[in-house]
Amino acid sequence: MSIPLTRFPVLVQEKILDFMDFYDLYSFSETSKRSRSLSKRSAKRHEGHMKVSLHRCLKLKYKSSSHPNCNLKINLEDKGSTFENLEKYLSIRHSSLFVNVTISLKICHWLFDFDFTLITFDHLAQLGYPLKKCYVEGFKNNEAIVRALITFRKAERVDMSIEPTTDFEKFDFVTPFTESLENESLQILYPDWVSPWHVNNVFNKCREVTLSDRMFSFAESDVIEILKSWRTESSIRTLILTFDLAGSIEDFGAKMVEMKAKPVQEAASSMEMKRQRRWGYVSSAWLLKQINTGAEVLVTVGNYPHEGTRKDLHMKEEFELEPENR
Amino acid sequence: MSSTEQGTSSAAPAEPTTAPESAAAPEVPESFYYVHGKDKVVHKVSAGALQHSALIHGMISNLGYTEEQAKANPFPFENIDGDILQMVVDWCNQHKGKPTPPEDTNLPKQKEKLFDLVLAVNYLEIKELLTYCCKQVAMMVKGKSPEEIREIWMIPTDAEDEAAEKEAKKRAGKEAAGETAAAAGDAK
Repeated sequence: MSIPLTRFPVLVQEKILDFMDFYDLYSFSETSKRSRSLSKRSAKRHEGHMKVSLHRCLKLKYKSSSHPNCNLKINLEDKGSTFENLEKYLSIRHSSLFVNVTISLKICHWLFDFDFTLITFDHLAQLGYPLKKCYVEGFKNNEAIVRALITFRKAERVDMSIEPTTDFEKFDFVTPFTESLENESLQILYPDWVSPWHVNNVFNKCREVTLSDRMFSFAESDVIEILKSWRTESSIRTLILTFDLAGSIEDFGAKMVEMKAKPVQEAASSMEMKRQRRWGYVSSAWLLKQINTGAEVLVTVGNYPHEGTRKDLHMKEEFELEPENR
Repeated sequence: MSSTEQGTSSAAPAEPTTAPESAAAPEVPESFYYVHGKDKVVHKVSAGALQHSALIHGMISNLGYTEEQAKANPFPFENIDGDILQMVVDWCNQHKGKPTPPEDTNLPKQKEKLFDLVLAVNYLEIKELLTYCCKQVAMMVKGKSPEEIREIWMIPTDAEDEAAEKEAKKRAGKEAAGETAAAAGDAK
């Protein structure tokens, strides 16, 4: 049975489209230019997420977050597509349809024109597409690290997996960062190039910062510098890194007490922590209070006996203490 | 005009009931109005049922017709087919004084009439029924491909849209030229 939709008054057409889920609305928008234009209004009622993958070819997958079936997806681009299609689909052809869209991005800096990628995403951010998750990987490139971090400074989550070059110390990792990053979560897999200055002045507006590398450790003095600066001002509430203990844990504790941190005992509240302790993981903990906000975090320093002076540092906002510390 | 009372209306007009003396408040007799569509068949509908239609409710709210006056002046809806008007009247009667449920299972079953029904309901401003009808139209294309949607909803292609637009412009141009010529003729 057919029904001539376009012969309904426009308000009725809009009401009908308002009852459609995003996937049907998208299919309808593909029927003609006029349909696409008509879909714009109703599309604003939906929210979704776009997965952009730039590995050998461009893949775009859209998922409507308001649809009850979480397995439905729109595959916008297929194998063999070029990066130019991203602009075509998002900023030109469908920008009006994919309105409340967050984007996750997976890119390799050597496979695509990296400059063009960054310019496009800068443009998309200006168009109002919030970037949700950016996973950036690549092979030893200092400039790519800096440029990608700056471009994705407002993305909700950034996973930076590009390694710096072996002579990264000759590269200027300071001057290009003229403003702080604002990621909810920032993970740097190869943080060799990261200094306390970066944590205190560039990552200071991030919420969770993970600087994890099994091959790299910060110096104890770096950690003290970071924590001292944090006390004064920082939005970081979770910080994970590894460092080399310069002396004994008691000496480190004395430096923490100097910062007015209170030594406490963390409760093994999770299964993971209980398992760690069974395997001999030993940790010390301090409560550290931020002067300007009064925010309190738990700083734990610990390791397994075989790890020697190499210690894991965890700063966390949510924690549980042993009863005697409460 | 020949008038036939149908549906609820086919029953004898309700006689005002006399309130029992013991009743605390006297019952106000329900008032009825009359409507007819393209087929001139007159339907008798209670004011309560007609409240669903914002258009008719607006028309009758200040009339203060007596039963005789209402009968003598049925509302004409010449743009609505008789059978469609019958469906609408039936729906209004079924939902008289009741809160409308989120899903309506009493919708007319004749899908081929859906297009006319939507137009009528939109014209009569029956909000809830329009909502149900629009949902039903939207459900027609659930899970369908663009090509299937084009077929079901009779969507013109871009080329057809462009041709129609050109045609409309041409017609508008001709009409404007005709009006200018007529105005010039009048001036002479």
